Amino acid sequence: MTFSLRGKVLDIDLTAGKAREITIPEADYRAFLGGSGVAAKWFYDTGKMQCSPLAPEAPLFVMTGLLTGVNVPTACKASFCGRSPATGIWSESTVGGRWPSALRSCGFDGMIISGCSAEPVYLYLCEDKVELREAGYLWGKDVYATQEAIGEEVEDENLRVAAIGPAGERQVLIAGIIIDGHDARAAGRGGMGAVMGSKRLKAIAVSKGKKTPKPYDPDALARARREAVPRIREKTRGLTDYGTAGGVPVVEKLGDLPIRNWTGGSWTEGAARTSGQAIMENVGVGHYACYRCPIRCGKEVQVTKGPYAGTEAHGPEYETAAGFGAHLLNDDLHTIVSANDLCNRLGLDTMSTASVIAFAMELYEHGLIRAEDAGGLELNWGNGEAILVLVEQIGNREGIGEILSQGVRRAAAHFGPPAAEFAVETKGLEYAFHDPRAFTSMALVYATGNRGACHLEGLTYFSENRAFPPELMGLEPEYDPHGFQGKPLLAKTMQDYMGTFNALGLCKFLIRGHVTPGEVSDWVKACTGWAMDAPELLTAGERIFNLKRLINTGLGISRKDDMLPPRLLVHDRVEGAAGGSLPHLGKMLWEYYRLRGWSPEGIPTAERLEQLGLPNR
Amino acid sequence: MKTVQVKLYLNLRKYATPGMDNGQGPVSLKAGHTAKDLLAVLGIPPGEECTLVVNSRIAGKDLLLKDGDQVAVLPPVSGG
Repeated sequence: MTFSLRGKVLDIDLTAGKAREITIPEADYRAFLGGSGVAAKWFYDTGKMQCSPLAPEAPLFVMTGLLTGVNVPTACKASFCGRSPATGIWSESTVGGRWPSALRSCGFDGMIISGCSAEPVYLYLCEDKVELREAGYLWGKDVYATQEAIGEEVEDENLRVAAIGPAGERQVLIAGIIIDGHDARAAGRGGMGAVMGSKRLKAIAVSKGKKTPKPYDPDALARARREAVPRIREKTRGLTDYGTAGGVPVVEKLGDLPIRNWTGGSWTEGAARTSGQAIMENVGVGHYACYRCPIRCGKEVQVTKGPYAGTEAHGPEYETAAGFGAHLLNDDLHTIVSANDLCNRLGLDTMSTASVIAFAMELYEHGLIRAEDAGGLELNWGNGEAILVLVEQIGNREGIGEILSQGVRRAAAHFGPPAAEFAVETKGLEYAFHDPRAFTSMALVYATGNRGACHLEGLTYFSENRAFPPELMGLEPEYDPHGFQGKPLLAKTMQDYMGTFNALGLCKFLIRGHVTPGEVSDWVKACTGWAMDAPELLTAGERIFNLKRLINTGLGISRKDDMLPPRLLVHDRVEGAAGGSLPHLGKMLWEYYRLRGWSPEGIPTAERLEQLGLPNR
Repeated sequence: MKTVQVKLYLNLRKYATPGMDNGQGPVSLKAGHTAKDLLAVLGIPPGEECTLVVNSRIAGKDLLLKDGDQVAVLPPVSGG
C-alpha cells in the first residue's frame, strides 16, 4: 500500500523572508488524520504554546484536510490553527470555499507560518513557485479589493485568495480570514485574522495547479460516492433551497434562537421576517457551492442598505442572520445583509461581532453605556443604523469600537461590574447561536469546547432533534431536550466524530445527510489505502480532542473554565419552547469527565493519554 | 371530534391539506387522536423526521391533542 495523498508542507519564516519544504510523517497522518488534527500535533511538538499569540515567534498553522481536494463529497476545507489572541488557548478556524482545494492542487498540504515581515507582504503560490510579494499597496484595502488587486497583479482570473481586511491589520481580536473575495467563506472564529495581521501577512494567494491528490482506489471511491450523494442531496434539500438561514423560524420555535442577548423567549414574527426564505424572496440573486459539495447551501444576495448598497455579496448564514437579527431584536433583513457584507469586507467574525454589539446594547439599556460614550449613537435594541456604524467602528478600532473590538470578555472588564452579568462567553469565545437551554447536551459541548463556546465541536442539537439520528452513532435514539440523561455520552461521542471532520477537510453538514463513521472510514480507506474502520476513525477523533485539551491544560485550563455564563446557567427563557429549562451542568460534567477518562478537575489522566498514544507531560 | 391549529414549516409544507393557507390552518381529529395520529392524517410518513411543538412546548408523538391546540410541525432543527 502507498500513501499517495501526502503533499509538502511549507515552513515559512516571515522575519527572514524564507520558505522551506518539510514532510510530515505518514504516522502523524494516520494518528491525527490531517487538518486541525495534524496542526495540533505539530503545535504541541513545537513547544511554542506559551508564545504570546501576536508575538512574531507564535506559529500560525494553515492545514488542509486529509481528503481536501479529492473527489469526496464536501472535501473542501482548511483550518487556520494556533493560539487565539482572543481566548489565549487553542484555536482552529475552518473554512471551505475553493481556496483550500486550490492550495492542495499546488502540491501543498499546508504551511506553518512564523516570524513577522518588516513590511506588509502577501504569499503567492503557483505549482512549485512560492513567493513573498510586497503588499504595502494592499494594506488598508478591504477583502474584496484585495482579491481583485492581487488577481490583476498575477493576471489570474481564477485566483483564490485568503485575505485579512482592515480588522486583521489592526489586530482586532475578533478578526477572521476571508476566503474567495465576494464569495466570502470565513475562517471567522478565534481572531486568527489578527494573528495574520500581527505578522504583516495580508493574504495567501493561490493559482490552481495540477497536483490534486489522487485516491488510492478510485473505483471504490466512485462506488461510495454514488451511494452517498443522492441521500445527502435528498436530506439537505432545505439547506439547498434556503441556505442555513432557512432554519431561523424552526430554531425560534424550538426555543433555540438567541433573542435580545439571550434574554428573550420567543420572537416568531421577527424570525419569519429575517429567515432564509425572506432573504431569498427579497434580495436573493443566486446560489453558491463550495468545492465538491452536493449541498450548495451558499446564497448570493443584493446589498440594499449601507455604504455598499447596489452591490452583490454572499448571503448571511444562519449564525449571521440570528446574530444580527434576533440577538439584537433587529427584524430588518436589509440591515442583516449589509452587516454581513461589512463584516466580510472588513474581515470580522460575524458571530463575535454580533455578540459584542448585543452586549453593548444591553449595557446601554442598563445605563452602563451612554450615547455620549458611543459618539452620540443611540444603542437601542433593533437600531439598524447604529448596528452598521458599530460594525465599521469595531473593524477599524474607532470610537467605542476600540473597546468592543476586543470581544465580550475584555469589554466587560473594561466597563466593570455588573457588565460581566451580560457577557455571554466561555473561555473568552462568544457563544454560537444555539441555546444550551433548548438542547442541554449543548451545555457540555460549549463548556468543554476546545476553542471555547463553539457549537461545531459537537453539534448535538442535530442529534437531539434527530437531524442526525443518534442511533447512527450507536446511541439512544431519543432524549429529553431539557433533561440530562444520556447527554454526557452523546456529547463525547459527537465531539470525537466531529473532531475528525476538521482533520479530514469535510463539511459537518454531511451529518445532515446521515453520513456515518463507517461511511467516512470507507472514504478514507479508498483514498489512502489504509485499513481504517469506524472504531479507528473515532479513536483518532478522540485522540485529537484530547491533544487539544492537553494543549489547553498546559495553558491553565481546567474544570474551573468548563463553565457556562450566568445568563445561560441560572436564568431561564421564561417563555417559548425552552421556557423554564436550565442545564444541569455540574451533574453532566461529572459523568462526562468519567467517560473521557479525565480527573474530576478536567485533566486527562496518564492512563487515558497512554491508551490514546499521547504524551504525558 | 376536535380541531387543532396546525402550522407546517419549510419542506413539510408539502403536506398541507386543502383547507390550509401557506401550510397553516385547522385540522379535524377524532376525540382520542394523538400527535402521531395527526401526522398520519396529514399524510406525513413515519420515516419523515419531524418535531412537534404543541402550545409552545416540544411534545412527544403520544401526546393526546386537545381541541384548540396550536401545533407546529417542524423538520429536524436547521441552522449552521
